[in-house]
Amino acid sequence: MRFKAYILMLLTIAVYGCKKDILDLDLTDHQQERIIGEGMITQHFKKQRFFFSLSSNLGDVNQTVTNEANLLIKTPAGIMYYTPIGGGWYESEIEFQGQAGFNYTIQFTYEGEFHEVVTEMPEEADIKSLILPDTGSFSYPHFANSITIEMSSEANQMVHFDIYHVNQEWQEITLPVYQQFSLYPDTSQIITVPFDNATSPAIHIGDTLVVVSKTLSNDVSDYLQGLQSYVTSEVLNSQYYNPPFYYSNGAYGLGYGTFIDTIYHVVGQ
Amino acid sequence: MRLALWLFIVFFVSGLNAQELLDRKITIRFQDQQLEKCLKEIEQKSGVHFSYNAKQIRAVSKPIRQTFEDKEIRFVLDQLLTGTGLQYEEMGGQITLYQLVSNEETVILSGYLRSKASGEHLIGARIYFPSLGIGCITNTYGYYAIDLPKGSHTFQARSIGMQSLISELNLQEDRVFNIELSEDTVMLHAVEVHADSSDEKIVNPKDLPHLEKTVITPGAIAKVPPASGERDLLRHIQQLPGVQPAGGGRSNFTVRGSGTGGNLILIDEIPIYHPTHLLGLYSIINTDALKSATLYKDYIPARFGTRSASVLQVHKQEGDLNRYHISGGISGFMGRLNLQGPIQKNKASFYTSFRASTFPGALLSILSDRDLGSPTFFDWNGKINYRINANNRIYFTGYIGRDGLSDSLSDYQWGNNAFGFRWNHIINAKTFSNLSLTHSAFLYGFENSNTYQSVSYGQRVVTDKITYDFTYFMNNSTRINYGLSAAFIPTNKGNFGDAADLFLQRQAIESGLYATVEQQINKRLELKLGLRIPFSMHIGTGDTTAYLTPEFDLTEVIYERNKLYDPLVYLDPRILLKYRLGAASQLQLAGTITSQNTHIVNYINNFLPIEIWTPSTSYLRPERNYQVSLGYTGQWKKWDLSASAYVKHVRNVLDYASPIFTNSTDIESNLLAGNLNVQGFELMMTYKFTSWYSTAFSYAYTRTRQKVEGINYDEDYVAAGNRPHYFSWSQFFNWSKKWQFTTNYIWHSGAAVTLPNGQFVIDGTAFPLYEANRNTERLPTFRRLDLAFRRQLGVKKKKDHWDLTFTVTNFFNRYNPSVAFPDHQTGQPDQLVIRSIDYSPLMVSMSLNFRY
Repeated sequence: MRFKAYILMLLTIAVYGCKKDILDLDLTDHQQERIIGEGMITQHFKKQRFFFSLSSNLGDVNQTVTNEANLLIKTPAGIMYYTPIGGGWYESEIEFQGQAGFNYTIQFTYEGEFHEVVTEMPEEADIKSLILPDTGSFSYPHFANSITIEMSSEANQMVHFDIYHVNQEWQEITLPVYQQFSLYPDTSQIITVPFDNATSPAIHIGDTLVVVSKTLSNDVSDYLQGLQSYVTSEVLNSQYYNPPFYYSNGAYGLGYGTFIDTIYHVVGQ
Repeated sequence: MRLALWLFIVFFVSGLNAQELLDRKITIRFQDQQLEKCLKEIEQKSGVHFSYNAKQIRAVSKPIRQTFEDKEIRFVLDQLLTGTGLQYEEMGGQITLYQLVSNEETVILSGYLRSKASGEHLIGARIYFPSLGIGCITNTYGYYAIDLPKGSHTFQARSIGMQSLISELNLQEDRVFNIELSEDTVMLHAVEVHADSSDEKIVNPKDLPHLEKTVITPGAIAKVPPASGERDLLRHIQQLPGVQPAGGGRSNFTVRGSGTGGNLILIDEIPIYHPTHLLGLYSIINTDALKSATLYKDYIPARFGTRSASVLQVHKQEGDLNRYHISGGISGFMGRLNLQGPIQKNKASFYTSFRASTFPGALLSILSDRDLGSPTFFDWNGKINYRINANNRIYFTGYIGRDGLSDSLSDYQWGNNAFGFRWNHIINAKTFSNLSLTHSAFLYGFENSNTYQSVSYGQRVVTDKITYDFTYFMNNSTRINYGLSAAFIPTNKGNFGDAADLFLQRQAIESGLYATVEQQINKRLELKLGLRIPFSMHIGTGDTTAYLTPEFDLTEVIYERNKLYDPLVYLDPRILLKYRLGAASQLQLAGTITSQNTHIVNYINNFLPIEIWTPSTSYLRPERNYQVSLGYTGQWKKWDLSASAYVKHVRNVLDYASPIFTNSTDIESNLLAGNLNVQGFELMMTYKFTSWYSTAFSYAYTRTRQKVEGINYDEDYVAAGNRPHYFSWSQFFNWSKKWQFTTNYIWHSGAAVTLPNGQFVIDGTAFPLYEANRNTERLPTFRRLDLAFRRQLGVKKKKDHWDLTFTVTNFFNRYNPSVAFPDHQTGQPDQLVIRSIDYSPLMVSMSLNFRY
């Protein structure tokens, strides 16, 4: 009997307590705005443009622009100085064009910090056409799961898309900031760009889709791949490393641009 | 300054005590008396006691006629014994007279010391001949050999937890003599505690507490409350100064500022990579299966290599050669079942034990914010030994253990496999050999699915090793240990699926030659001098590896398949000098250089043992540890004291080059190497007031500074996890035959950590931002009191096979964060907070144990 009592005690007295807490530190009060530089050097002979913004959210469409940076780009044609033209945009003082296979050194300063990156101009690529899924199938509920883009390229390279939707007002269709697609040398190849239904706007017949394509230099492509690994892998982003920076000294940037192409497509036409 | 004063007082006071008997002054007159009568008169007048072989004393026939006025006993004995060939020694509260052994008349006595009941060999047991003033200690396998003069001699044999044996031997020729000791059953019945050395009187200076190594028995573990409800070896050694938990309240440990990867943990000579279960709360070493464990951190003998900071050598029980036993227990965390007995009586036996998690609800609470499921584990230990004949014995040892954890997205598994074969062979009476073949594997793997990708990783790191070790008992003052070892260390995907990615694929050969001479130079001075020559090579696996430079440039290296790279050879000398100040005190000076060819390069993770090991290359150089320590041990009255100060310099320690990012299969490109400097002071005191009360204090001060080019603006910084002050105080109350009560209080500084100072959002998810300064913040100070009550059942009816242990961990329910890390606010992925976890919250547990 006594033995049974002990067994009963064992089962009933095995009570656990524990205590867990949050240290008194909320990092949302320590959001740090970082400067983000996005450059586009095209193959067209013209005054090239660059865009600076401040944000604590890479990929946020609502960014604060700044005209307080100083920018120059070292090109094969010489050093190109940029001047602010407002709204965060900077323009080269003289016209020049990007040449595939050559290095471009982007240097800028902001609030006394110097930032730099060296990027190599990629090959050209063309958008042949843009295809939506069978338009008849999405008259309702008005969502497209993806768009299909036909492209051509003369080299292996990566491409990035910004997709805007116009119904009554402009709205960007959100894609992961690190998302990129590969191109191989061909006159025609199909790229499918998936949409996130939860965040994408409803698309109606007659709406306009604007697709801005940018071919990526290799270093940008590597950077985005690293960013994707950091963001999507729980093991790797176990919060002991800073997210990867594109420029030196902790500046973010998506200096894709080396080539730009835009196609307008009216849904259902 | 205060420290120096304290040391001075300790040395001075103990020194006085140590010299007491021989320094005592007497006035005495001898008038043509025989030596034996003179000694008796000295005993009467001074109160000291002599121990001697009467035959040797009576052989001195010359009568003594001499007068001494207020002279020290030392002086009197020097006069009386001049020309007699006799010497004297103060030991164990008496003065022993003995005659030096003549080499011409000696024979060799050799054999094993064993437990009479179970037949198990006794490690570190002592056989001592008081009249000759000589003795020896059994080696790691229970074997001894000693030169003795022909004739009849009284000897004393003793071992921790066993009854001492005093008997007489008549030696006329070389003889193999196996000595069997009975268990100290009185202590077992009353306290369930095997005796510590401190429980017994000193009979020889060599029995003083050793700074060079600390022996831990299951009995010693029973004297400290079992934190989290279970007795645990790794938690117990954290009571020793200089040893700290890897994370507060966790089982894995660090030694003197080095990382967990610096500890060589050997279970029956098999190296173990990951020594804990249940996310670090319990060690994989089943205390039921433990015979003894030895920790080396000052002087690491040359036979040990491959790790730089410490060695924990664990011996599992061998199994009773005569009787069958069953034992076990159950608590809120695990169930245990052990079986042992003879396979062939007095010839072969087995020991097997099995443990499995029961209902670890407290762990669920700890992990609830991580949405992790219930962690589970099991492990199995097995051992078989077989005496082929008097000169040969073989052993088979096995261990299998697995842990599991899962949540809605992820599934994690990890564990160790360890198997070993040993052959003890007596080549001749003075030469003992041990051949061991071991296989050790640490496996882990996980699968993780999220919105954008599904990943799975698997890894298995293996060590297949052969060691051939020899001990040569040259004479009574010299012992030589030498041998060689070779290991093949590959990593592969293991058992977690062919589709899994591999963190690193590496192969290496790691070998070593070693020799140690142990020499008793004179009565006071003992020297141990060793040299190890580690040799390692990296075998190419056809992969490309990127290494980082302090300038943050990456160097890519292609390792061609099966091609040999980076042969590395070093000389690792080891030296230990022990100088006996008196009968009960000694100084020790140790100098050790160790090399570590295999590095842990895992990602920091608070929960999971994602421990990725990689061999040294010409880019990731072997870690080299240079350490000098000066220590003191002393005993007086009921106090034992040990103190040591050390300086340590470690080259090629690795740290993460944050914020540089690396992908999963390229960990080495996120590492930079530098130097670590550690200085420390350690103190331990034990006090045995009566048979019903004893207490122990330990304190350690550890200062670590690390300097790695490319990190912390190239300035030195505190090593991660450093806790400068660490104090523990344990008490043991033996209330009655029924009840024992133990307490343990731990206080230590908060660990140095690096925390983010901001956050950055990418695509709606917040990520932390860190400054370049390292380890500039500390967790709060840690304080915890644990209590345990043990109730022996059926004492009156002499049925002492059952007991209940009631444990309260963290009695005051103090919140002691052990780790801190950024995490998302619940339901708000764009907001980060710093969370912390207390791995030793208030836990009340009861365990029921039995033994037949």
